[in-house]
Amino acid sequence: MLTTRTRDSCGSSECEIEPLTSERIDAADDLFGLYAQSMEQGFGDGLPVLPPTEARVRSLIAATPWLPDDVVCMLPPRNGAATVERVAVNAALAGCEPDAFPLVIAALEAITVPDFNLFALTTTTSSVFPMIVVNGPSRGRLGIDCGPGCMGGAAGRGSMTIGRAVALCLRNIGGQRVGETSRSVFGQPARATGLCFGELEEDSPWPSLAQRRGFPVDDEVVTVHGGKGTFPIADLNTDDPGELLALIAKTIAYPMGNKFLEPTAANGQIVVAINPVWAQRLASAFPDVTSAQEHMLEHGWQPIEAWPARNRAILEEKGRVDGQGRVHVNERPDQFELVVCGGHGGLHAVCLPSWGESDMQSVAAVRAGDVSVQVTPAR
Amino acid sequence: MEILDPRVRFDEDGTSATFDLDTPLTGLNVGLRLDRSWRSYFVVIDEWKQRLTADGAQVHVLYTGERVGDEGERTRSDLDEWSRLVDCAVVGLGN
Repeated sequence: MLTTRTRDSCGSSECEIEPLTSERIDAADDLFGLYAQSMEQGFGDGLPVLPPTEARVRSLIAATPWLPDDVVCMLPPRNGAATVERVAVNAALAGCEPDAFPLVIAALEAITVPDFNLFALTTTTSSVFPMIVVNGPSRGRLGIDCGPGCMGGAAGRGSMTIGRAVALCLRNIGGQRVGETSRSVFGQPARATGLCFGELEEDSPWPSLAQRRGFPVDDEVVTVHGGKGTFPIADLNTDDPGELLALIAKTIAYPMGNKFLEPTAANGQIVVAINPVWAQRLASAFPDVTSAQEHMLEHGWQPIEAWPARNRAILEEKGRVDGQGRVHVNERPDQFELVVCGGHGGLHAVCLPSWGESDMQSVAAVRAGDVSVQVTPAR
Repeated sequence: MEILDPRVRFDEDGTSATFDLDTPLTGLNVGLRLDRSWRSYFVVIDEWKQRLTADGAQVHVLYTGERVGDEGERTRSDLDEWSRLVDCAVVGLGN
């Protein structure tokens, strides 16, 4: 990805002789008219859009080291070529600012890693959608919400535009359309607005998600997770951190979760967003995050009796029932990914349930002037 | 004002392609591929297998599993082997 060039260039994507090849649309001059036009012509998502003018699109491209015709990825379900230009047009539509655009590129690179299984995610009957967790030093600057309301309501520009840009790319470049290429029964809000939030690294007692996945602390990292929605968890009564974490693990192993539909528990991750107050409490018993994950594995199961007889037979046939009659939601501790974020009100966590057959992926964002970028000219 | 079109224009519509064999089924190796999680299709597969066999086809049913991780590697290997056996196939029966 992002190693192809279709012709020699004069270098910087700020070069004005690099033509933008997108077709032009004669758009209404006022934003209400543009909104109506986006709905009528099918390039919108139901939310108001901003005009992707050439100047705006060029400003986004200039924030990267890439040229307009560099191909980020092929986007399913219809394998549209996501050139940097096309991605920028959709990002402009979403209101993405140039400084945030490299994270859109990184997110698209991440979701098209084969083990993310994007074709399946974009066509399934499920509600699953790529959810984005951001780590690194640019979160505040870009308006990536990490604190109160980080999953909706805080209204940071980065949070509200990066995920939406990815969603628009899937619609307009990948051809994901409900009732046509997507068989999603319900969808979910993130399919329009995206879901993009940051880890509250400053308040976390553990290494960040990006660090745990092998990235230096100063990297801007986008991690994508195929999440089925936001599943709220609340507790007023449990003081003991071990009991609290066990209860969380038991709660997220709900019987009608996708993880129990799969032949094995080996694939996919379950993301649990932990508020910073609970994180400190949990860390008092689990100073090492892997010990917390092991504890969750120990308690993240349901007894086979939780299912009706017919379902039990299927789970047994799949080999999902252990010798103690337990059906585990995950096979390994590292499949429980704890992300510290949210407000200091305590009381709450949020689970981003796994779709199952999709493994979390992480990519570091690359910016214009990044000397580490190696580009292979096209043959 | 002028804006850039955010869409890729696809040449054909988004429906699944269909094909005509233009040949009798006798002696043909026909594949039926099913995601084993979708148990409702088991009934469909049984019915189709009977009818195809009655029409002279040699039917090869493949039940696939997961698509990522180690299981995914096994699934791809099974698909590769199965695809060499068949002259034509019905796929996409699943999620």
